[in-house]
Amino acid sequence: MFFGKSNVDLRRESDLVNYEFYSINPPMKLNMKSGKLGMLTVLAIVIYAVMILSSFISEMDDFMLGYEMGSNLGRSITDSTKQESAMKTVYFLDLKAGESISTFPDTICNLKGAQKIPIRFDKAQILADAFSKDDKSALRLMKQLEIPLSLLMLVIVVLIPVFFIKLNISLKKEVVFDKSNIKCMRWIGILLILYYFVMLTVSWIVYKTNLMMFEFAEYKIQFKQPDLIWILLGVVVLLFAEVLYRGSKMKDEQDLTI
Amino acid sequence: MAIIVNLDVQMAKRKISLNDLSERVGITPANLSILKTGKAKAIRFSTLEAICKELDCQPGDILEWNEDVEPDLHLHSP
Repeated sequence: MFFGKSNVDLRRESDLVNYEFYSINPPMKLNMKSGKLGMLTVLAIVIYAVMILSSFISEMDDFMLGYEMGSNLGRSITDSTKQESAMKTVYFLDLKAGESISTFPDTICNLKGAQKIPIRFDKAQILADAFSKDDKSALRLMKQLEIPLSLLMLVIVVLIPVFFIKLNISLKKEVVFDKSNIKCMRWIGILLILYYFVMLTVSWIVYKTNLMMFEFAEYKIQFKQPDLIWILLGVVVLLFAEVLYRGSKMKDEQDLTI
Repeated sequence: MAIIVNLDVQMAKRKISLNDLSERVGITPANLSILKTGKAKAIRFSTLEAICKELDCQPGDILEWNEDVEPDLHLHSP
């Protein structure tokens, strides 16, 4: 019996009536859905953490090298004999060998065959003079811009999971087509696209400064393009946000259908 | 919306309250209030049938089209 009518087809009642019914007698499949959602959330966070960690680990040598250079510079402030050698920094270059793809300009000794074999390098770390404090050139200013951009990248990397977790908390409460969820998804999409462009800017600055500093006979300095997957992910997330927005409009219409 | 809901007029004629009518029709008072205040976007035939049955009136007594009122173009927007 419901509202005094035993023969009322509940399926023809408004969504609010159905909601009241389900809140008293929750079907089992709702619990299974929240378990699946929780599992997917944890999986996504784990994959994201592994992705960030693996990129950090792969760059660990570069990080440790930079740290060592920095601490050498700090120690040399009191010791004037070491100052000159400490005023150097490491430059990271992406290289392309010569004009032809079959060019191998260098050689390396293969201990297993005791012979020298041709080789070409696609990356290099060069220890060269750092910029002085008095240097006001465009080169130094461009290098200084790398620091705030790198900090911005770090902020983005932290913000993306924050919005993702906020979205999942809302989904766990069975609130799907909500303005706050749409806002979260849009922010995630925008941050992913922004991350790509910030990486692109940093790569361009590094490329330009390397071009100003170095020129090699056998190699050309390459511009390292960031992975396009970031911008693709951003666009896909924005697409889903738009789908969610359309869904929310349809839900509003459905809620106001008596 | 260009469609005007005159439910309150019919309810006053029959001297029936919102809660009573909602109970008899089988919808919540909140939904009936949405319909009465003209905020509803659509109405099911089953609901209209139930209301007309309880109020002993025609659909035209409850729903009226007025060309002077601004139509709700949002319904047709993508």
